[in-house]
Amino acid sequence: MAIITFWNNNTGKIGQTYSAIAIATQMALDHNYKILFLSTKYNDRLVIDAFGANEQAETVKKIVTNKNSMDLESGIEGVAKMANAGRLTAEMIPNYTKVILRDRLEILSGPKGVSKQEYEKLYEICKEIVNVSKRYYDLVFIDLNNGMKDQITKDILQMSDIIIFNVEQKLAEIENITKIKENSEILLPKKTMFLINKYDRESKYTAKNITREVGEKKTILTVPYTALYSEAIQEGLTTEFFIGLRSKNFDDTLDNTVFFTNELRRANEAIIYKMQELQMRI
Amino acid sequence: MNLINLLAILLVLAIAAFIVVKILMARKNQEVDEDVEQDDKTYTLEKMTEFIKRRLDEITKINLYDIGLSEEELKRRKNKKYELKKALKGCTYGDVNDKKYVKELIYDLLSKEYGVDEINVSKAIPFDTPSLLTAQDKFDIMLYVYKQQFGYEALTEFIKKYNLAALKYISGEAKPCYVITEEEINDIYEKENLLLTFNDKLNVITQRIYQSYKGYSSIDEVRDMNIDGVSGGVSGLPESFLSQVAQTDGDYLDQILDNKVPRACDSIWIFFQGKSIRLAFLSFGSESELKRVCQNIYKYNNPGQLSDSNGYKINEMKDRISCRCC
Repeated sequence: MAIITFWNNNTGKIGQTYSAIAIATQMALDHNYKILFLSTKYNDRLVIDAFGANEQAETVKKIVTNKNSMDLESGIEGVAKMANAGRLTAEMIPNYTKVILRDRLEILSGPKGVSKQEYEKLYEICKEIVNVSKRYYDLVFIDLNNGMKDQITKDILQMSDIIIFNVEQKLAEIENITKIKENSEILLPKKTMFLINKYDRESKYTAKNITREVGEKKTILTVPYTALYSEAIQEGLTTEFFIGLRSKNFDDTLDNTVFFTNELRRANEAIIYKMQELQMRI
Repeated sequence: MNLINLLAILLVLAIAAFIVVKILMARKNQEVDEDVEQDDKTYTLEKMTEFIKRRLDEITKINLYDIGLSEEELKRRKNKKYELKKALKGCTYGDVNDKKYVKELIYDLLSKEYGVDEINVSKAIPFDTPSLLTAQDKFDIMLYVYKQQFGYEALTEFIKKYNLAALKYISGEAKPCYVITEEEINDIYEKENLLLTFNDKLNVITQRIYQSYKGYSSIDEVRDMNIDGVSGGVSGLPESFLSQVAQTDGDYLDQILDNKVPRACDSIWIFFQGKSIRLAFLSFGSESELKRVCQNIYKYNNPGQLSDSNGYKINEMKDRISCRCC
């Protein structure tokens, strides 16, 4: 139904995947949407590792049963084969995904252990995969490559219903946001939202201050930095972390994890509102 | 009493540990058996085809209920298996998309599991030594390169570029005929002077394996091209006839051994812009291969059995190309 793309134009790592996983997982837990999380990054294992607690179980199963080699490839590689052969249909996509929350959240992991040349071919096919998968899923979250060197990146951005432009909590980023708002043809104001990654509420560049500075009407979205979430991602316990958060006392706003959850919920509400706004326009 | 209990517990634990170790060792040995054995013939087309047949067979025939998958995983694996089975069936009916999918799988199995790399790829087809390439190898390579550029117009472009659809005299024939000979293919290959990457080489090998396994032998790629039609086995003498004659006439036997008598399985014709052109450099290799192709080519939509009493079938393939089998 809707394509939500996380993108930034920085050269380094600014925590985009970190935020994208958090928002998608919270969305899956709070709302009854069928979500696909698609990562297009080259040899980036963060998404697989973030939900990788079951990987260990699969490795054990593989050793014991020795039957894993009897399967066809999963992830983008598997879907790409179908797409290359012109046989890809929306109903086929779930066969190649990894289920995180049944009927809620599935991930289509990016290409792993492939050469740069092979990756470029796979990246080209991502456009078609996104197009097809939006017919099956309610929301397709894409963790897109940064920069705008490739035509494919531009095409996917153009196809997106909502673009979440990721920034760092820095003074220099204010200028970046202003420039993007004024110049970009692809990042149209009506479908672009700004998001501060690894947000620290103690900093003087608060979301409110930055919002005021760049002249946005609504407070810019944030994904606060939390050590617990960061650890959970590394240990492959992301789902367990989010499920654990549900038992928290949400009135305790001084608690970092509560603030983290509240900000994610605010982001999700904003995304849903934007989606409804776009649907009304259509 | 306690001591006896303790000993009994230890004994049970020891037996359990022994059984677990035994099972794991058996699994390990099984894994070793499944590894690709390395010898001089490992990277020949025959061995690779055998491997591909075995692997695809394993993937499609595995009993998923034995593995102990979760309900969701079982459903997904079943769907994937079903898709593969469908593609393996569809490609024999002439579905180009199914063919592409099966070829992609073969390509991956060869490069990722069988270990075909830049060094050993030339053991299957000697790409680096043109003098060792057969006319069919050369034609396959050139058709692949042209297909990359012109798609399904590749054969048309190839024939037009080298004016191969012209009447010509060949040795032993009194009248001119439309034929593309081995010498012409050799000359053209020399002129083309192609530089192939590893990817290209593996794609050519993949096509070769595919056509001998699920495809239509040497006419597989030619059939897909935008030409008026292809015929196989329509001229020359069938092997059964040759064996009968050879028993009665010694001269014939000599001629057969000298390859002077054209065999039915060597006959491949294409219909190109109103002309019937014989591809003298291509062959099905044996009558059994020709039979395999004939038996596969007419089967789309179950038109009935081709038999001695009903000796011909006219049917349409999945890609709307009509075929006649006699």
